[in-house]
Amino acid sequence: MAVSFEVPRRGSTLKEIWIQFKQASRLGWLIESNWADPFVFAVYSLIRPLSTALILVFMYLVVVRGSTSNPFFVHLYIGNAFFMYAGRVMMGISYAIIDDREHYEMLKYIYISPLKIFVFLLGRGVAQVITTTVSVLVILLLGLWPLGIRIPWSFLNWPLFLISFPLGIIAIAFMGYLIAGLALVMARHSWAIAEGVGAVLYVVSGAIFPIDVLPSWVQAISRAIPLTYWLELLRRSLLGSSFSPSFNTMPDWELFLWLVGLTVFFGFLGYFVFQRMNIVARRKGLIDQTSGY
Amino acid sequence: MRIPPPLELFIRSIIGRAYPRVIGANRELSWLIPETVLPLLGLAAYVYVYRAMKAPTEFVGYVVLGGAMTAYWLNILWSMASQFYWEKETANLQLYIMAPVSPMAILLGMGIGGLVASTIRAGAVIIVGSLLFGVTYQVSSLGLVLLVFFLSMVALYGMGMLLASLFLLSGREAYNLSNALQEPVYLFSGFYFPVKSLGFWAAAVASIIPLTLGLDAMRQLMFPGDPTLGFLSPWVECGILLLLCPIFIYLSKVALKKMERAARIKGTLSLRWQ
Repeated sequence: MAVSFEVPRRGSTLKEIWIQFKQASRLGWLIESNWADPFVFAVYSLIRPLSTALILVFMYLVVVRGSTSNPFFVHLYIGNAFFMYAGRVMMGISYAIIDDREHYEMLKYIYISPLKIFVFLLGRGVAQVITTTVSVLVILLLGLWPLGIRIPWSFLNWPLFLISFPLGIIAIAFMGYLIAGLALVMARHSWAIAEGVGAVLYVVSGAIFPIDVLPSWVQAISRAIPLTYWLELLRRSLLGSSFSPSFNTMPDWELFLWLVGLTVFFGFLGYFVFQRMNIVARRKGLIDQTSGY
Repeated sequence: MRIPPPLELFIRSIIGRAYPRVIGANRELSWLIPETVLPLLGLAAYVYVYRAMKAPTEFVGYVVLGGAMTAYWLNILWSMASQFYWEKETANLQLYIMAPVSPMAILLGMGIGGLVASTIRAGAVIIVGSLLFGVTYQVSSLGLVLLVFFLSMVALYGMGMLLASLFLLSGREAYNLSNALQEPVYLFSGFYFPVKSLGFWAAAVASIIPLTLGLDAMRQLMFPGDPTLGFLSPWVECGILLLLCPIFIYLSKVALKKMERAARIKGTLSLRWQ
């Protein structure tokens, strides 16, 4: 399929980066979606997250045998829905390295094009944000209507939601860069790192259970990642209450400060690890390695 | 050069294809870590959900057993169903088709090799998961557990061969289809909860996936806590699995023949990056 792109002219750096970002996002979207017609792609995008949500629904129903408007279930359901961003955006950014290097063998061409690899990966992440947003909305609608989840609309805190949500996405993106950096210098285990980090975060972030049920040493890890605070803030902004009793006494602004601090920390870490590994991979000639994995 | 008789060739092809699966899986032992740790992390999340809901202890056992069984389903999806797609991408598929061997033998070899490798991983998940989360088993009939497991695997790998033949025509969609089939089967087969809670008819339809009945029967035989959680009696489930085995193997043989012909006509056997 022929794809034409706007060629950035030399000039304003910001404008050039903006054009690169637009092109990378469009390219990311095409890579994600052009293997199927829009209907099949829509079904594909929804079937996996819907199934995960329904597994939790049945787990809850078989044990509690109670109403789905129970606050425990509502917190679990909302946390699971928003955690999808973590899994998909982080994987979208990091997996682009594995896919384009090992599978499509296109990474070397990205490097020799006028596109900056950092911006290219951001574009792949944006494509994931778009598809994940649709999935999250469908899951939330499924929760509201057939499952009968009750959101206390009077408690909705839009300002808190609107400042917390993008901050969490930025934190997730930088965690994706961190893994992408490692993937650049690893041959065989890069996919396992990408999936492993997603699985670890699912457990430690308290996406589907309060972190208080975790062993205390795991709780310490939970408190050191931005996702824990992000999910807690999203729950508070939508439901007006905490999932985890240990966060009950923490005011919104303190949770928000933790989220900002950890996002900045992971931002620096992700950026520097990625840039450093980028240099190492280029020096060692790893950009076009294929290991058959 | 001696040309072996058809049966010998068939068996040698099976061994030849199973060999790299078994040796390859054990040559790079570092794979064992992510392949054990990843399912453990997945099941840990569900264990903590049950603990947060104060569920009866056998539910933790259900999750550990279901988590171990994911090794087989993932093997079916990624190393059987979409295998011909990977072989196409690495330009091996055309060599298989050119070789004077039955594609059925290649699939059987892949299945047997994959079964051995997956059993090592599933065993590791059961041992580590049981120790980590304190699962205790009360096996009422070891013989029946082994029979159910054996029949589930034969039917499941028969289903894998059927999927592989259906995926023969696929390009990039094979990868995405495998991706899309992962969680729905966890849901419909009741990997993390008793399948009976889906309701009778939904569970009955889900029984077409051999792991649904296999898991349900094994849970009833290993965790006899609440007998009302079982879908059908283990003996009935065993009988249905016995029926599913030849059905899947026969269907895979027919589908493989048809799909191979269709792929030859469409010229997709050597098409990469489709």
